[in-house]
Amino acid sequence: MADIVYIICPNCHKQFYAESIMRKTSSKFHCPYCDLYFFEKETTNKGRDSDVKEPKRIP
Amino acid sequence: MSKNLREFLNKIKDTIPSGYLEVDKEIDAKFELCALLQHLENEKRFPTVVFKNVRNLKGDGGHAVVSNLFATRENLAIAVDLPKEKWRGELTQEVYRRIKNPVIPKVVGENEAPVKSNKIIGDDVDIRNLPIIRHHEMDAAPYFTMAIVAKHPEWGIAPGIHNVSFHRMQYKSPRETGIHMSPLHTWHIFRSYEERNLPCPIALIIGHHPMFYVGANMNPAAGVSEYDLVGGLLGEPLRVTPSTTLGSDFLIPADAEFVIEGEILPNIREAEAPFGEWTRYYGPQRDNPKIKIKAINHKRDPIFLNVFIGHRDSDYLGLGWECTVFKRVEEAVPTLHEVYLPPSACGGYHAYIKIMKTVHGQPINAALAALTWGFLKLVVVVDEDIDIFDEEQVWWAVATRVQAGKQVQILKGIRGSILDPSIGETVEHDAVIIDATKPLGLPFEEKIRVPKEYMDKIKLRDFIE
Repeated sequence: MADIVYIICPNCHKQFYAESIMRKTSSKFHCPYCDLYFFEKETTNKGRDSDVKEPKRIP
Repeated sequence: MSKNLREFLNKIKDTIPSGYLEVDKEIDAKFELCALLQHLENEKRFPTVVFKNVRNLKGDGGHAVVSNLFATRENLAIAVDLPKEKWRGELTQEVYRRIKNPVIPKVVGENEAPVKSNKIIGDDVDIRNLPIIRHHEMDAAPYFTMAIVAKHPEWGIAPGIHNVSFHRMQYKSPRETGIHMSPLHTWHIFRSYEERNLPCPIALIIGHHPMFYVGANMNPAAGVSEYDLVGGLLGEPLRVTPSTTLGSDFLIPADAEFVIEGEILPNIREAEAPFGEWTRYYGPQRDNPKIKIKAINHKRDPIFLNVFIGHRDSDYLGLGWECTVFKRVEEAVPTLHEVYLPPSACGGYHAYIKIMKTVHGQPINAALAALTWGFLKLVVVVDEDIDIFDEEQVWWAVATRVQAGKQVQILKGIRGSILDPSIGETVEHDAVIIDATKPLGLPFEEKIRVPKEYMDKIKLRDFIE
């Protein structure tokens, strides 16, 4: 599996994960919980690479 | 009658009534159906379940769905006309015997193809009318989990050859899905089209005889038509008919319940997944191609087939992989007895191999041959006295016949599975070989046993009710 990052949906604030390479493309992320498509800049993630991979943050 | 899903369901209903369940009560395709399957699994029950009244994506009930078709090896034994008790090595060998005898498909006209009883084309297509299953909590959407057919283009590496393989397809909109392809045959076919900025025709096959899907899960050379392979597995020609929208030379199975026709669009990528995979983990969201759906063909009162992926239903689909490994090991070690890819490793990551060791080094030859099939991360080779379908016996052999310094080896940098959560970005993994065979030509301590004459004399039923 490629390197993954956790993403927090700006609408429902639930977490899911994606390949980190998606951050380098122009694609929108898709929230599996509320169906929102959104750009990275819209997410409330902070320090995703270092912080959000922590297993304790998995819901 | 040609072999198909319904004929097979009747067969298991008659042969293993305790392994067949019909659910009449209405249930939703979104999580509810899988919750019921999970409850059964929690009780270690894996019946084939026919749901007769499933609500589709619009909330309309009355749809038939089958799941757990592949969840026992007994089912698969019956699928190749063996008694249900012959689910161990006999099953692997019978499937292997059949793939060595491919059968060319039989082309039939539309009027002889039950799948063409109903054709929905163009703007009338709406896949929300189907009971597409939503399986696990983090899944991005409902997913199709069955096999697709693609055809090598005239300029491709195997012109005109039909390829069948499993690919997850995510519901996107009434006429669109996403698709994930590992870099194997379908991906190469798609790339051949995409390099020319052309859409790649594909057909999704929902609901056929189990051997259609065991064939789909094999990895023959690109030049081998998997329709021929499926014919071998069925023991009769696969009946095919020209597609509705993909051209008359694109042939689709005539006896499938549903065939959904579409095109993978070139040079478009969009978020696809997360999706709960056969590894029992969610594969991450990634940029993947999209499919435009062009037509739905289906039988009258069609049955929607679903693989409860990441559970026994996908573990034993590894039978196709098991036969691929068997073939490769047999070529290296003629005294091979059996190969088993156990569900404890998702039916794909570990292999237990039983051989009759006749010369030094044979267990390593067997393991190396097995490892040429890319997903394996552990190969244990044992002697003839070990039942490889009983994991306790395999690990007893490891515990009592292995000195790690001599009989355990690690190979590094083998091409692996992109879905393996522990693998790196280069998709290379390490593999462990354990030679758990006894030394050749030297005395070795004997297994304990109660004398046979006393076992024959003392019957359990004479002492215990």
